[in-house]
Amino acid sequence: MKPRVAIFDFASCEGCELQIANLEEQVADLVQAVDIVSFREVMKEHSGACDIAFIEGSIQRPMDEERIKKIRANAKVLVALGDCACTGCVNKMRNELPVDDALRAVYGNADVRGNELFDLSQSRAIDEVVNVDFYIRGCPVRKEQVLYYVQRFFGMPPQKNLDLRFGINARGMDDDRRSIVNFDPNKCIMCRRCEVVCNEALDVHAIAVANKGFASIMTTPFDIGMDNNKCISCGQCLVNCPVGAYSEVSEVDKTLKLLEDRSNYVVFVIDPIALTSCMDSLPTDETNFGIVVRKLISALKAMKAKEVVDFTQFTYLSIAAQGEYIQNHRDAAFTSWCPSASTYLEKFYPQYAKFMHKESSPENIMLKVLRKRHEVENLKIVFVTPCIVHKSNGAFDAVLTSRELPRLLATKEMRLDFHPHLGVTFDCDLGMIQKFVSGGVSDYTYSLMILKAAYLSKFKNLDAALTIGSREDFIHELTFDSELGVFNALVIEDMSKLRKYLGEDIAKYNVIEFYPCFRGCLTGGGQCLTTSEDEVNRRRARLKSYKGEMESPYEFVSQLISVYDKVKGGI
Amino acid sequence: MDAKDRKMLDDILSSHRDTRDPAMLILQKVQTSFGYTGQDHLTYISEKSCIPLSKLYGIVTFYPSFRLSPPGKSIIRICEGTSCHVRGGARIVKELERQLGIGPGQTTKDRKFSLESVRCLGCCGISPVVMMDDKTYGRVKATKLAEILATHGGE
Ligand code: SF4
Ligand code: SF4
Ligand code: SF4
Ligand code: FES
Repeated sequence: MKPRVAIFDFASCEGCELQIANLEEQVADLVQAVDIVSFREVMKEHSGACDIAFIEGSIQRPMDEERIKKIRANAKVLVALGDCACTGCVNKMRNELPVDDALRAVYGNADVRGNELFDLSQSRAIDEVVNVDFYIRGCPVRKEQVLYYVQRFFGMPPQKNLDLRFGINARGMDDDRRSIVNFDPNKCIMCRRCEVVCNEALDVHAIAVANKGFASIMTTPFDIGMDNNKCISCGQCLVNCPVGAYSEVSEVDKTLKLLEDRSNYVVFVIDPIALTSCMDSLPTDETNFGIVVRKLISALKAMKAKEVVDFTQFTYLSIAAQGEYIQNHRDAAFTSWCPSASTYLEKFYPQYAKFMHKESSPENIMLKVLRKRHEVENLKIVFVTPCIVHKSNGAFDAVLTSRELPRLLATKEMRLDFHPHLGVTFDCDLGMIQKFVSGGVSDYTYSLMILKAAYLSKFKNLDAALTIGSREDFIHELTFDSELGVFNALVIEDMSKLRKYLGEDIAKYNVIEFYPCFRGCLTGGGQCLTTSEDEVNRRRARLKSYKGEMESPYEFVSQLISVYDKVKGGI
Repeated sequence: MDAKDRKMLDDILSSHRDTRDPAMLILQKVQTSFGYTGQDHLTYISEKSCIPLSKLYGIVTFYPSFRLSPPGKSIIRICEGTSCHVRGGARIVKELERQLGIGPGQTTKDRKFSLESVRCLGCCGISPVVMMDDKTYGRVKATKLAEILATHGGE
């Protein structure tokens, strides 16, 4: 049976559909290859289920919402056709006006109230209402592009938008591969989500639209490249781009080379948070997170990794090291574990850079401990992380993000299901893994501070020692009354408010933390794409299932102190 | 940029200290005072005013009234209006680009020519039209361009 294609329109000028109608003689080719089951511009009959639905226009009314949901349910693949569908485009400008004003502006005094055809809600892009598989940009779209997409779908069906490049260099612009965040302008649909994230949510302003019309492009000022700019390499543009126009510098080949050379002693260090998002793309049918992690350890060993180490224990050690640092430096200390936060301080507040203590960061402790414990030649460290920013740290031999790990396994056609999990654990156990099953603590920055407080207050009753207040949404003020004195901490979970607080007298705080990623590293810049809260919760649940509840902070801290004292000489 | 330039920029900035959304007005003054809005100017303004550089760059690349580099000695305006387009304007643009080695909005390395594209110069009857500074050339043929450039100091 020929694939069934349907074309539907919502609020739009129908120009994109016209482009399809304009394919003229090529329409004949198209019709030979596919069955067009619905296309209001050229035919009358319509029918329900289809393989691909092309959607033109944006969603305006409750009845539109209902209709698009039905279409979604009946379509295997849903494509947003043109700017109105992709982004809401000019239709969205109406959102600035109260609905009544908008209606009056267009329909004058005609009474349209109560008529469901005029029942406007906010104007929305298609992906604000249902899942969109693919996007074709353009106002209107280019007909060659539509044809190309249709052929691609049935020739070599792409798995996700991320795999799909335009076959044509639609905009005559080259890829930008100068920085750790690469950019392919030909994929960009100009939705400006990256710009909004970088400018409004993060207040970093590294990128913005330049030029206009067909020449418009998302770029850095004077095209100086991300790294030379204010960019802090957080990768939030990358995870928020719906079409994968941004990508990380791939280190898959580099890792394979490290593994091929048998004289290397390759150690994989895995941050389990990184696995929460790529679990769906790992080659396995297993659904239990803990088992997947263990199978992955076996699979990496089969690929000739000598050891697979849990990163979480170094984050725990960092708590102890930072605790010491905070005790000894009563000035404000910036203790974020996030390398992007450090880059931010260096670029925007160089005067505060001296208050950072990079030595006590988990990566630095990890590097020191591993080097100390493995006095082998050719020790090679591959870091699997939720965060692209680590790629700028030359101390690692390779850094793989959540998006690259499945690609690494794919090169060797690894199926995790064939690898054992029973009795498999992480190597290089410093004495904490058995006690505090790994899983990481930087889900929320907040939970991290609690542990830091627990460390400082040592064996005091934590509830009495810690007071938690909030100055406004996402800005927490903590006071921990420790046996060493009183410490004040400020935790900023919303970067757009950062300048306000750093502009204040920061001397009243002993500890300041901030992170660019809104849910912490769970949606970090190297994670697989997500824009949905449900997905974030799924990731969180995976981590929890693995980590279990932390038994008690006291026990944790006393254990931590004893491990820290033991390895400290080596740090 | 020298001390004099910085002083000029400081003056422009201080004249807009109380303006709401001053970016556009500041940039316009820079354009009139310097003849262009260059990377140095924009970087300086951004540092002093806290207006993000990316925003300034977005503005100057959007509006045709801003130039990113100092203009050349002669300014070539090539019409890309409908009438000129229909009568082969696009070919003229291509040929000029080839001969000068620059695109619209750019200036040759020797700073002799700047190329600008405009929409309708108001003399469609003699399209396609090219203007060299304030001299207008009508019914331009691609083969005649070298000659025209030569009369304006080109090789
Ligand atoms: S990596 Fe972060 S700072 Fe850099 S451009 Fe993307 S969002 Fe902005
Ligand atoms: S790069 Fe991606 S997020 Fe940014 S405007 Fe283009 S499509 Fe949107
Ligand atoms: S918050 Fe985490 S994921 Fe995000 S930039 Fe920082 S370290 Fe990376
Ligand atoms: S279109 Fe060129 S002069 Fe009118």
